[in-house]
Amino acid sequence: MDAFLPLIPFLPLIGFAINGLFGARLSKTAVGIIGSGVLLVSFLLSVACFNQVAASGAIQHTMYNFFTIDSMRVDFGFLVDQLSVWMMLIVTGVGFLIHVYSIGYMHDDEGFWKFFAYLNLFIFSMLLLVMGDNLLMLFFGWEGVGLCSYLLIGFWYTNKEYGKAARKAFIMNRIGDLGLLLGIFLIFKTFGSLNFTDIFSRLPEMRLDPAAVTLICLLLFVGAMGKSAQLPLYTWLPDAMAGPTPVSALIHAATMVTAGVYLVARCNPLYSLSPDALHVVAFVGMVTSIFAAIIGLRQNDIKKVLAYSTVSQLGLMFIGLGMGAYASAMFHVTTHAFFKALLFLAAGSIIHGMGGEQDIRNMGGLRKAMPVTFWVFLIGTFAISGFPLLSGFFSKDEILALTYAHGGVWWWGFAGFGALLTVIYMSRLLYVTFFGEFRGTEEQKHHLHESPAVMTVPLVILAILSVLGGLLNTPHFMHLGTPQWLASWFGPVIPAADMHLPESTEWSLMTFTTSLALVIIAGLYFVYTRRGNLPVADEAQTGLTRVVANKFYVDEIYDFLFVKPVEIGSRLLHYADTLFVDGIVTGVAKGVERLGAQFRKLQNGNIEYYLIGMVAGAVLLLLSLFV
Amino acid sequence: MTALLIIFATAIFVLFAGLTKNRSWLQPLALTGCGLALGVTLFELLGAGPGGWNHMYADMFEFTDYALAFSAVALVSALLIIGLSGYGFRSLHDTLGDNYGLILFSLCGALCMFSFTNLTMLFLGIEILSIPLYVLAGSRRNDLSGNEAALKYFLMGAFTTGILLFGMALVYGATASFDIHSIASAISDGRHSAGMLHTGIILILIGLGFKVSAVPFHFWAPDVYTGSPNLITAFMATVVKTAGFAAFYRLFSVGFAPAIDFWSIPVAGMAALTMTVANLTAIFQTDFKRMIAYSSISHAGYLLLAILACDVPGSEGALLFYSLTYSVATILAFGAYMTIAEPNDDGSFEAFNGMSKKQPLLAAVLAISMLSLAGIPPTAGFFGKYFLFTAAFAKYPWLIVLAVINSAVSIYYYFKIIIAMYFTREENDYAVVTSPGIRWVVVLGLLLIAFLTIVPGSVYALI
Amino acid sequence: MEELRTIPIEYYLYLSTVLFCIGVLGVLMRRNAIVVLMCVELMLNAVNLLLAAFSTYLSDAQGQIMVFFIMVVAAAEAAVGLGILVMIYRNTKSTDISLLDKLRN
Repeated sequence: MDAFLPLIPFLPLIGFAINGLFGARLSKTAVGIIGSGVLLVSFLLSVACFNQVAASGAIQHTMYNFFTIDSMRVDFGFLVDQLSVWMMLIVTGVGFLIHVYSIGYMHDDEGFWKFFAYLNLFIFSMLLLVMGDNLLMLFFGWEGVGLCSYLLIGFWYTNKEYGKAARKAFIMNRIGDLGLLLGIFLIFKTFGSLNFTDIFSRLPEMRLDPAAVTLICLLLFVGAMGKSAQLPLYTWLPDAMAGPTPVSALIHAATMVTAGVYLVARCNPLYSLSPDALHVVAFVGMVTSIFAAIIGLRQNDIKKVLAYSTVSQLGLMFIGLGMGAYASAMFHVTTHAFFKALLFLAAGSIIHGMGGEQDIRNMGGLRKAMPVTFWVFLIGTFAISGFPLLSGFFSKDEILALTYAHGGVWWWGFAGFGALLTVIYMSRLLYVTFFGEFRGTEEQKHHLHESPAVMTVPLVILAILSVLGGLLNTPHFMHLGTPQWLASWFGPVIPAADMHLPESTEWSLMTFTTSLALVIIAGLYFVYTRRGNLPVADEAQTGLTRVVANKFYVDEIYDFLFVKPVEIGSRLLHYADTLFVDGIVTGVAKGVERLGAQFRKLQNGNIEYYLIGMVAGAVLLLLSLFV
Repeated sequence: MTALLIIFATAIFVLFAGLTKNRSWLQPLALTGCGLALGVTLFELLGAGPGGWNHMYADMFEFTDYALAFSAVALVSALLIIGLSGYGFRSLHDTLGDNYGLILFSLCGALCMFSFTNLTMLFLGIEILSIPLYVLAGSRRNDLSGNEAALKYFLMGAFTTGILLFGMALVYGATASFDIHSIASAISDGRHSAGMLHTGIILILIGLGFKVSAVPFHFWAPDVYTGSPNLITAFMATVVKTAGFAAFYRLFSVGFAPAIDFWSIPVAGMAALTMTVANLTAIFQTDFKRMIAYSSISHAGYLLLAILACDVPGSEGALLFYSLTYSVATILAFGAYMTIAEPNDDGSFEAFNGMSKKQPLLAAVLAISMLSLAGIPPTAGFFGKYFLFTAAFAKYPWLIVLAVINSAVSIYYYFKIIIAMYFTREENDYAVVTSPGIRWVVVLGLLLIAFLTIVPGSVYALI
Repeated sequence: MEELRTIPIEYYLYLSTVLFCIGVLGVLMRRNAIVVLMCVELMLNAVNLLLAAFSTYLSDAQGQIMVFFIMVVAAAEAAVGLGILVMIYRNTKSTDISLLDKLRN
C-alpha cells in the first residue's frame, strides 16, 4: 500500500496537468472522464488505505526530505491515520460525486476543461492538507485550497462582482493564514519540530507554560476561523457563492471550509491542554452559529441561504470542538458533507432547470416539474433539520448532548436555539421553492425541466448517504446501527469525549429538541404553503404584505412573537455586519491607504530632498550610539 | 577566483569584439563566459574546492562555500539577464559591446563582494559593481528619464561611498585592521575604542543600506529603477541586491559579529521601516516597473532579517535561497514585462489586460513569478520567506509578525497584475512581441523555480 | 615620524570629521552638480586624511594603501560622473540637480 499512497493526491494532480495542458484540444467527454476518473481511482485507493489502517494502524510514509536546517527536518511525507483517512474518504468520495455532477452542470460552459483542471487541483491541495504529516504540508494544502477557491469563485470572471468576491475570499483567508503561520512558527520554536507525531509525542514530557499553549491554540484557531468562515472572518463565504454551484458544494460546504475543524481536531492534544482556548473556540462557534442562522432567515437567494446555513453549521462544529467533543465535530463534518453537498447540488439542479434563476421568490411549485430534485432536497432539508433517524439528527444531537454535559444548560440552550433557527430557514426554503404556485416568468416555466441523469444520480447517492450516514455513530442507548462506531474508530487519534449524563437526560434532551423541530417543520408548512405567505423584497414590504389576507389571528400572533422580532433582529445584525465587520475591514484599508499616500509624498523626485532624507536617516541611526 | 578571472577576461574580450562590424556574436560570447564561470563555480562548490586561490592576493579573498554559492546565484541571474538581452538590447548598435562589457565588469564587482576578507576589497568590489551601473543606467543617451536616473544614482552613490569610507576609516582606527577576521578578534578581545568602532559600524551600515536600498536610504531605487533600461533595472534588482546582501551578511556575521548587540537594534528598525514603507507605497503604484522597484525594496526589508539572525544556524542558507528565488522570479517578471511594455511603450497595469489570451506562456510565467514574489505556497518564494522568518522568529517575534502582515499586504499589488492578465474583460489591442530568446529564458527560469519548489533543501546542501 | 605623533590622533579625527561634514553640507546645499561632485571629493579627502593619520599612528601600512585605492576609485568615479553631466548638459543645457525631478511618487 505504501507505494501507492502518493498516488492518492498525485492522481488528481496528473488530472490537472492533463486537463490544464491539453484540455482545450480534448472533447468534453474526455475531459470529464479524466477529471472524475482520477478521483474515482483516488477514492478506491483511499478505501484500500482505510482497510489497511483498520487492520494495522496508522501509515507513515515519507516521500523525500524537503529540507533539513540544523535540527529542523521537514519531509514531504504523509501521515494516514484514522482521522486523515476519514477525511480522504470524504474528500475523494464526495468530490467524485460532485465531479460527475459537474459534467452535466457545466456542460455548456466554454471553460469546461479549465473548470475540471481547477477542481482537480483543488482536490490535490485538499488531500495534501489532510494527508501531510507535518504542519508545513498542511499549510501548503491550506494555501493551495485557498488559491483554487479563488480561481473557482472567479471562474465566471466576466462579471465584475464575481472577481470582487474572489478577491474578498482570498484576502479574508489571508488574514486567517497570518494566524496559522505565526502559530506554526511558535510551534516550531516551542517543540523544535513541525511533525505531528513528534509534537504530540513530546507533549506529555514537556512542562509547557499554559499561556504559551493557549497562544499557539488561539493562533491556529485564527487560521481555522478564516478558512471555516467564523465570525468575524465569515463574510467571504456568502460572497463566494458567486462561483459555479458545484464549487459551492465541494469547496464551500463539504471540504475546504471544514479544514478549520480538521485542524483543531488534528491538534486536539494541544487544545486539550488549554481550557481557555477551548472556551474561545466554543464561544466563537456559538456566536457564529446563531448570528449566521438569523441572517439566513432573511435571505431570498437560494445559494445565500445555504451559505449562511453552512456558516451556522460550522459554528455548531466549533461548539462541539470547544466542548472537547472532537469526534462528534468530525462526525458532524461527515454528515454535513453529505447533506450540504446534497442541498447545494440540488440547488444547482434547480438553478439549472430554472435557467440561472436563484431568487426563491420567483420559484414555487417546482415539486411537480422536478420530482427527483424535490425528493432529494426534501431529504437534505430534513437531514439538516434533525428529522429523527436521518444523519443530521444523530450528529447534531450528539454535539448538543455533549454541550449539555460539558457546558451546562445555557450553552446547550444557545446551541439548540441556533439549531432550531436552522430548521426555520431550511423548511422555509423548501416550502417556498417547491410548494405553491410557480411564480417565475412564462419563459422560465417553459424552460423548466428535470436535470439529466448525470446530475441526478449523484444527488440520489448523496441522498442515500444523508439518510444512512447517521448510523455510523448512533448513541449507545438507542441500540441502533453501530453505536459509537466512528468515535471508537477515531479513538487512537482522538480520545473519546466523556459523556457522563444519565440515559434519561439524554433521551429527554433529544426528545425536546426533536419535537420542537418537528413542530416548526409542520407549523411552517401551514405558514408558507397554505397562506401563500411569500417572502417579499425589503423595499416592497408594505405594498405586498397588505395583499396577504388576515384570516387567522393565530398567524399574526406567531408573526409578532417570533418571526418579526427575529426578522428585525436579523436585519439589525445584517446592518451591524455591514457597518462594523465590513467597516473595520474598510477602515483598516483606508488607514493603510492614507499612510501609503504619506509615504508616497516622500518620493517627490527631487534629489536634494532625497539627500536630506538620507542624512536625516543617518543622524537618526547615529543617535542609537547614545541609547 | 576562477570565475572572476573568466568573467573579467570575457568582459575585455567583448569590449574589443564590440569594435568589429559583426556584432551578432557578442551575446553568445557573453553567455559562454558566464556559463563557463557558472560551470567552474559549481564544480568548485560541489567537490573540487576553490583550488589554491585562497591565500593568494595577500589574503584579500577567501573562497568559502558561502562565496561560491552566492557567486553561482549571481552568475545564474546574469545568465538569464544576458539571455534576455537579445531582445532588450535589440535597438542598440554602436554601443552593444560596451553594454555587455560593462555588465560583465559590474558582475566582477559582485564576485569580489562575495569573497572579500578585507574591507579594501569590499570597497573595491562595491565600486567595481557600481561605476559601470552609473553608465548603464544612462545608456540611452537621449532619453531624459535615463539621464535623470543616471544622475540620481551617481550622485547618491558617490555620496554614500564617502560615508561608507568614513565608516571603514573609523573601524580601521578602532581595530587597527581592515581584515574582517582581525576586526572580529579585536572587537571580542576588547582591544578597541568603542565610540569610534560603533560610529564606524553605523556609517558602514548606512553605506551598505544604500546599496541594498533599505529605508531610509532607498530614495534612489524607485526613480533609478524606473528610469533605467529594463534589463539594467533587472540587473540592479537582482545581481546588485544579491551582492549587497551577501557582502552585508558576510561583513556583519564575521567582522562585526561580536558587536551584534549594538548593531542589531538599528538594523531591526531599518528592517521594520523598510518593509512597511515599501509595501504601503507599492500599493499605490500604477506602473509595473515602479511597483517592482518598491517590491524590491520590501524584499530588502525581509532580507535584513537574515542579517539580524546571522548567529542562527541556517540563516545563510535562508539568505541564499531567498536571493536565488527572488532573483529568478524578478528576472522572469521582467522578461514577460518587456514583451508587452516595450513594443507598446506602456508600462501601466492596464497594458497587461487580457495577456493570458495573447501569450498564455508568458502570462503564466508572470503569474507564477508574482505568486513567488508574494510568497504564496507552493511557489519557491514561500520557502524563501518561510526559511527567513523561522530563522529570525526566536529573536524577533514582533518583527516577524510585522513581516507576515506585510507579505499579506504585498499580495494586493502583486495580484493586480494577475487580475489584469486573467480576470479583466476590457482588453486592449496591444501587440505582444516576443522572441525565441525570451521563451528559452522563461522556460529555464520556470524549471529552476519548479526545482526549488520541489526540493528546497537542495540549496542548503550547497553551503 | 616622531614629531608627527606629538599631535594627538584626536586632532586628526576632529579635523577630518569637520572636513567631512563640510563636504556633506556642501552636497546638501549646493544645486550645481559640479560643485556637488567637488563636495563629494572633499568628503573622500577627509577620509584619506583620517586613514593616513591612523596608518601613521598604528604604524601599519594598510591605511595608506587604502588611500591609494580611494584616490584611484575617486578618479574613476569623477570621470564617469562628469561624463553623465556632459550628457545631461547636452540634453537640458543645465547642470542644476533640482531640475531633474520627472521620476517621482
